[in-house]
Amino acid sequence: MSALTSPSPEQPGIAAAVAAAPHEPLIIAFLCNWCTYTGADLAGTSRIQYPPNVRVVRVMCSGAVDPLYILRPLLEGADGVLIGGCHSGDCHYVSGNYKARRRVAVVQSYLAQLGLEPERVWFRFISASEGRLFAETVTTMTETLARLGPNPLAREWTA
Amino acid sequence: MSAATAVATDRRSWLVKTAPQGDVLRALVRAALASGLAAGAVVPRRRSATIVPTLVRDPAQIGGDSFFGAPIMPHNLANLLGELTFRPASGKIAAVLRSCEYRALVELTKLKQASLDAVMVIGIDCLGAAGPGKGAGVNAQQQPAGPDQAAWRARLAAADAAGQPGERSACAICLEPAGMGPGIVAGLVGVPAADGLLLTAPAGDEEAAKLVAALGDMEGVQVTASPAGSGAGSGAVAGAGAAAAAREQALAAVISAREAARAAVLGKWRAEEGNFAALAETLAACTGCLNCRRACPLCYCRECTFETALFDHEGQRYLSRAGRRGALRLPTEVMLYHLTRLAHVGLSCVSCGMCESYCPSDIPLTAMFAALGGEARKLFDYQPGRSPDEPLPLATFREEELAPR
Repeated sequence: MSALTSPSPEQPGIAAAVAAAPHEPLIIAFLCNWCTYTGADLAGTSRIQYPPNVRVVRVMCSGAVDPLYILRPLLEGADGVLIGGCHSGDCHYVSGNYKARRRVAVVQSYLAQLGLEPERVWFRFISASEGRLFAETVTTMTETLARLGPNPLAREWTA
Repeated sequence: MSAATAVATDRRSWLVKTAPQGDVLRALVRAALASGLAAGAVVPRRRSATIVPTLVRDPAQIGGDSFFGAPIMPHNLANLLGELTFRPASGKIAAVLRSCEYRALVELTKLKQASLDAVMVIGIDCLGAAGPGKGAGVNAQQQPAGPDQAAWRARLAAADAAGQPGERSACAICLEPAGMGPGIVAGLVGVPAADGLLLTAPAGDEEAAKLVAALGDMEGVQVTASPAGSGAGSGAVAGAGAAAAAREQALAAVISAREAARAAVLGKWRAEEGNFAALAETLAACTGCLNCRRACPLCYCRECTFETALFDHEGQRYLSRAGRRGALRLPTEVMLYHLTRLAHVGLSCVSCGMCESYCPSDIPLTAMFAALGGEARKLFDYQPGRSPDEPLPLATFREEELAPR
């Protein structure tokens, strides 16, 4: 069970059970309406299996993902953030995906400089027809985050 | 130091003397207004506690209490010029700007929050300034801060020792002391005051030539010109040319000393503060007052996300957030605020240090932005304020770069 869904101290029995369980990474995903969200939808309607560790937020464009949206889940203890946008040249708004790519690189630079693994933030181009690629991406990302271990910021009250 | 090194080649220079020595900048701004080249001017006026920026239209208002180049910086003037030029007016605003103010104005213009074209920039060398605060005015009591670098620094140090606002930490690690701008630059450094004030401008700048001509027509003003590529034999040319060379040399010495200081400060920051735990310690002093964003010339949003109700939650939500990690820092979102500000304006940060100057808790924000932002800027080889024509790194892209492709 991940940080964001872990129980409050009012439920000590559950908390103890959760503490004993292996760490399940939590991924917050911001998916572009036109490509990756539709791709994720296709993965679902195609009954493609992938880990249930991802919580999806639909955005109109990967270019609409403010750095704030990436930083907030990480400071709140999510293990990773996935941003999904259209392939090169396919952005519904012409260049939102390219601008998102630069913004993500900047956030990753700050995280790396502050000692948090930049691999916790993934940006991927996944089209509406690539349900399988979406499933594979979530699978690989879940495995990667499991290897990295829990986000250390999840325990810090100062974050 | 593009501005400093460019002086020798494609710029013309003038040495200007005034009857009461040290009155050149006042005369220059008066000339800008009297000639009609500028419709208004931003003039810092000395008051007992500090200096106050004013928008002046009447040249007669530029008198003894006007203090251009005072070693005191209660604002980054780019902030105020944004207000004045965001919507068009009928004429230009003359403003005497430090390098950090000019560079901020360039960035603000790119962000479409100011108009560089609406400002008649008079760049000015700066060796450091005291921040805002009552008593900063002691740094503005004598005229001028002038070319004597030792006296300039000594005055700031003395103010600091006396518990008054002294040299700001940003100034101590500033690598861009040379005045910059598209037109006239006043060289305060390295030229003895008795020789006059050195003015330089791009060789083809007609506005600058008109302004200097208007200056020369004023009473008590004596201008010695050194036009580029002509009359190398005359004594007058050697005067202005030699002054320009002396200024470059003096600036180079300042910059090389500062490079060591800057490397030390940023190295220390990276070693001691470059992790989340240390950052949390540093930000423990943050009260969430948001002064840093108001002081910042680039944090231009009328309403910051962090001032909205976005982070106002139901009481239960706070309890559950506190429950997850056992405790929750109050006020909440402090680290998120600083990291978001870094992500929003870090690439355009000109290291003016006003954020730190306005911080009631003395949080070392200048070093934080210089260290973290400086590293991120390397991704795009971006230098804030370098050129008005260079696109903002987050507003442009190349198809073949970074990942994914």
